[in-house]
Amino acid sequence: MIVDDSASMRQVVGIALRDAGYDLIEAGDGKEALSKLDGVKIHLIISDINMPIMDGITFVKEVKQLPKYRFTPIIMLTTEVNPAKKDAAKEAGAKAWVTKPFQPKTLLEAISKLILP
Amino acid sequence: MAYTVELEKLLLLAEPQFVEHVSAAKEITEQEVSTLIRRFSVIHDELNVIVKLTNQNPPDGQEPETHEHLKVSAEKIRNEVDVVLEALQFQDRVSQILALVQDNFTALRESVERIQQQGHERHQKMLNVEETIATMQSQYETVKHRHNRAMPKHSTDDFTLF
Repeated sequence: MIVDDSASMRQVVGIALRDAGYDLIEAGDGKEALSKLDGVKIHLIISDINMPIMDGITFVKEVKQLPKYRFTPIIMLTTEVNPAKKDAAKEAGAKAWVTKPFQPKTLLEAISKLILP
Repeated sequence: MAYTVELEKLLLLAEPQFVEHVSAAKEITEQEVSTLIRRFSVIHDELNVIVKLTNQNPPDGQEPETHEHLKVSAEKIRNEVDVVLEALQFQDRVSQILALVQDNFTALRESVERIQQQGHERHQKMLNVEETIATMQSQYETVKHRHNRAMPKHSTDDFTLF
């Protein structure tokens, strides 16, 4: 699942992931993402931080409360440079942090370290 | 006082227009970039097909050098397309800056509305201009810093595993 309020960013992530053989579910913010989770099998979540309605860190905390998704790895994909935000993401339960703009191979490397092929 | 009232009126009338224009700019650039990405995605996929085909043995009658040249060209073009797709991520930063402008105009309007409700008791100290400007400046600096961090090509900070 990719959670980002930028449609073009979701497209770019989609191209990188589909190239590598992954299927993708998209959401424009944390609230929409939570509504789409609804029992669907998700191997990994990629989330932006700065989003309207529900930001990425709040979203991560919410996901970690859901029994079915507690152990689903989450990668933060963000332009954020604030170290406090990085700490907050780690504290919330995210497993990795990738900065934008990203190269597809960097994101795929992060994914390969978190889920089995 | 009359001047202040007119100034308040100007801000309260102008703010929705500023916000609307900024919102339109965000939407238009997002749509255009999205279209570009879609087009490049199609090129990227076709090039992937060519690269896959050229990874197989050349068909009968085709010169191996021609086959190899086609493969190299396809890979080169595909790599360039990947660079373009990466560059188009700029749209995300543009959206952030525009969102900041929108939010600041809205916050300014809300401040003025709150102060206006004080009627004749409103005074200059209710609007802390220096603090407001400093907050805006700090927000823009943060976004600028994010943008500048994005400029150098791929530092070691790209990826952290927790």
